[in-house]
Amino acid sequence: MSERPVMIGADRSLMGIVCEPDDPWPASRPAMIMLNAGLIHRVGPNRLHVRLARELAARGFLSLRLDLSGRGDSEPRRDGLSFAESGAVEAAEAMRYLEDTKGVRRFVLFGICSGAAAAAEVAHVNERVAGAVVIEGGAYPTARFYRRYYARRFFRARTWWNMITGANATGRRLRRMLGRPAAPASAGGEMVSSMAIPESTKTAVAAALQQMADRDVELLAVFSGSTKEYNYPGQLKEAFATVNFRGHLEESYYPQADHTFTRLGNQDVLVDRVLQWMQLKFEAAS
Amino acid sequence: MVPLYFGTSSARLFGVYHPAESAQRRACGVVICPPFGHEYIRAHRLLRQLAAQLSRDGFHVLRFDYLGCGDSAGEPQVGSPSQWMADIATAIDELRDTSEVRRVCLIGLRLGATLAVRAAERRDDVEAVVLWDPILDGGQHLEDLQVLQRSWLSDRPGSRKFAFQPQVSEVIGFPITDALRAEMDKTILEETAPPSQRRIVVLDAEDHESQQQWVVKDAGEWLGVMRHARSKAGDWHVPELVHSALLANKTMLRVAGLVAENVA
Repeated sequence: MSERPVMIGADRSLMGIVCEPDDPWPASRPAMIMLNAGLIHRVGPNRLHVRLARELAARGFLSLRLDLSGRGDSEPRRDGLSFAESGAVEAAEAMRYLEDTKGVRRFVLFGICSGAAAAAEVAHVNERVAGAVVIEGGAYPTARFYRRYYARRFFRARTWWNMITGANATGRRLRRMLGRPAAPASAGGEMVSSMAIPESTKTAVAAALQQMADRDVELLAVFSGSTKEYNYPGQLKEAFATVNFRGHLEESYYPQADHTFTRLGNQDVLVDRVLQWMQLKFEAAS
Repeated sequence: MVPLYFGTSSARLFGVYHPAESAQRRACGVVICPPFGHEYIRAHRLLRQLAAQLSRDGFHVLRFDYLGCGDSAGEPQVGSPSQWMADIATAIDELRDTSEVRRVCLIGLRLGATLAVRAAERRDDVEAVVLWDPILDGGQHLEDLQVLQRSWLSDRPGSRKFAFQPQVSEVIGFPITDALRAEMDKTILEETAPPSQRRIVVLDAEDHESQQQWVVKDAGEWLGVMRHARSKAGDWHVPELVHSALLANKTMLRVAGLVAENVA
């Protein structure tokens, strides 16, 4: 495995680290491009990107951990492009760089949190993207989600306490009926209304997912226990029941993990899952 | 800005060299010594901005990642204060070699400050050391991090049982090995010899009172002390901020200003 810092883009203002396997790899095997998780620089949360890049190289996959503009060691853009627009442009620049210098023609995008949104966006619009690992991206509640959500809350002591003190909606209604003042609403008390996703958004996402599936783009969607809008494996597929994923969507749910998979045990599980998925979907590419 | 790998093939370190951008070149170079663990990630962008500012002020600057940290080689488990002090020495040699400066100023943040002082004791080419929110006692620092870890865990999914373990083996995503613990116990700023370099202390942390007592005790030895306005975003012990970028631009500019005023 060897690592080399690179400066990318027309004005060489984007910095990244290329991590390359020692042995030659098939030209058609995709390379992974890792996008920033929020404002965290290219090493990733808890240095996750570095570990994943090195493990991928040991399995014959090239990768680039990239700082998008204004993050890590990359310069801010001066052309006024929005966050979403610049992410797509810069990911395309990174692909062009790897194609020119390494002959790579297909790519897998990897992102956590805001990086997940950027990865999905680019996977949708860029024909060279063969797959995307979307960690803690958008979740879409289903009828089953709500059943599980309310069942869990029903058996939780906190729910009953909030109802007694009037800190949740039901408690406030009860106290109004009894003519008593209500306590201030607790965090999460009004969750359900905040989870509602506009139908127009969902329709657009469904269309994008279908287009990706039709292009054979492989998708690995990973959720943690920190995503309140997701509570069982397979929820994403069920939320988009009209989309024919054609076997290209895999979902993993780790309720014990937090948003950035901070605990070491959770990091191990996540890295193993991504490696296993990469090998299953792309190792045979030749 | 030139990103590069340096050091030996068995211990490759990642660094970014910022050549002096001002026509007025300084005789002294600057090596920036970061904190470790999640504090390193929080401080990354701010230390980049510090390096850029200093290069505009005419300094050749090298910032770098310790072995097992950031983009440098090695697993996090290889990290220890003795290793990181050796890495600081390697970084000083690299900057001297690259920019042809003969002397350097070390700027250390948090544990980086402690390591910088200890590394400087072994060299005769360190002109000055800037200690930004220094860790006075490595063992106490680990205990503080354990408290932070427990506090952070208590509000995380499926983690409450870990919050009650007597000794934690990881802190906010990074392992704490027995070897690291043993060395951290011996990494104490108070026991260092009287300084042979000029020193600048910048206190912006929430636990500045104990730091200030320590500085006052040795006031005769110090070039200057600056206590900047405390800001919540600069707070190192708030569980909600462990994954947030450190926002301390005013302090960073003050650090750069102090270096520009006091280092040749």
